[in-house]
Amino acid sequence: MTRIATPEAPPVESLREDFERAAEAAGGAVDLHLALAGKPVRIRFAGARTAEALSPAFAHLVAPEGSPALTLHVWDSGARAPETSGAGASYYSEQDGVRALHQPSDVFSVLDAKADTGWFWMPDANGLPYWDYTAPFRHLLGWWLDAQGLRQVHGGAVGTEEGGVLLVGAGGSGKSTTALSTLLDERLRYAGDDYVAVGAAHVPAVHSIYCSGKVHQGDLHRLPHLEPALADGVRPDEKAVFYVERSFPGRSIAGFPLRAIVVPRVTERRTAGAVPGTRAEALAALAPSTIFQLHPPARDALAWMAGLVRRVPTFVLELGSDAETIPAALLRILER
Amino acid sequence: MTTRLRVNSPNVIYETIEGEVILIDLKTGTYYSLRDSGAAVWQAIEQGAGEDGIAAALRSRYDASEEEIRDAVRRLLDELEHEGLVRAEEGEAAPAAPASGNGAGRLPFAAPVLEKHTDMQDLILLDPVHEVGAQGWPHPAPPDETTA
Repeated sequence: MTRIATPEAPPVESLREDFERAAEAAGGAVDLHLALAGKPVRIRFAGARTAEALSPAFAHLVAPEGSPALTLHVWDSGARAPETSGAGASYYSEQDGVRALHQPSDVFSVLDAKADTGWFWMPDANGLPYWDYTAPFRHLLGWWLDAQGLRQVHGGAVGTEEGGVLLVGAGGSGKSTTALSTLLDERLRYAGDDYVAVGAAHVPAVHSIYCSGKVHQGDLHRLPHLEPALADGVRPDEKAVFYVERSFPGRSIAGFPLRAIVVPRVTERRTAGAVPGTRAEALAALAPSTIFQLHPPARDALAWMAGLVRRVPTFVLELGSDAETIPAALLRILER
Repeated sequence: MTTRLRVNSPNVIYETIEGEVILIDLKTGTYYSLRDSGAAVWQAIEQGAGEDGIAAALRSRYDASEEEIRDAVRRLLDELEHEGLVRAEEGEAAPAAPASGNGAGRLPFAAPVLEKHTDMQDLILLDPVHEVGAQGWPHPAPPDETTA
């Protein structure tokens, strides 16, 4: 790679033309209409192949067509995607309300916040790494949520219509296992295992973004109810991937009032149980990974998240070897 | 003129919650926590105190000899500077307000501990984000540049 001396992102007009050309070549644009955090969002895919590759994570948010508060344009070049470990430099620019990010998997995200319009280009819609296709357009949606007064946070969320919990912690802390274990109990609904939106208005609330779930192949034996739901086409070196709305219809949820922050912790015990935690514990589990997973790191995000954890209680969920006992422990937190 | 300590802004962000300070270094991805006497030291730094003022604030709260507190404060300040969380600068140090106590006499003293967490560093080192400046966006070299 070399560099060209154009400090600004490609002009929005050229992105529009590129998308139109790609859509025409792919048999037309395919529109997906969603209600995200209660707002109408339209995702325009260039062709059915691209739509099929990146729609399943949004299946639970599909809504009737509305006047969109955000329109994303999504296309690929049908080129072979570069082999990537996800590591490598990202490039970010922000100019006149237009944010642009180029990531190592050669994915390009541009958001024009003033126009409520975004663009997402990738080499091959079927060649994205699992962390991208299970959470598509994460940066575009994160920047847009920010402009709506909401935050995309690194955490899972499960609960009921009446209220739910935010599951926070670094990778390997048991967030996904906890979130996906809720599919064992009809009373609980799934709002995500990795990234959700949170609003801190009068009543703090969680808004689901993705109904996808991921677990390490080695942890799958702890969640045998998921095996039949394993998404097709998952490569053997990747995490096991699920789309909850597809495999467990009606078990995902668009959002709920936030009742508690839960920090899962893997322990030697057999059954899961919750104990009160400190707010500092919740903030340390939530803030660093949220701040560093969204480009660029937002300086004001720590104060915002501190404000959130001050408003709801924190629990440590001690996970045992028996994953079937997790839903009951979560329900006991919600009943407090 | 004396030496006062300043939080290394804008790279360092922090919040105090239930008496514990969570600090994040946005450049390195390292995050830290300070509790008890460590949180009291941080509170004095926030107020622009110098080393003497910080030690005085702690003496008003904790039951320990002047020397013990002074040594403990020196060690923590060295560590905070070494980690790039604070920097010393010339200037009039503000007198630190007495560290807030519970009003029921002085507390037993334990030397402050800076807890350091590096699990986010990989994310920063493996996925650095560069602001695009005059050098422009990365772009595949055109054929005439790659062929001899």
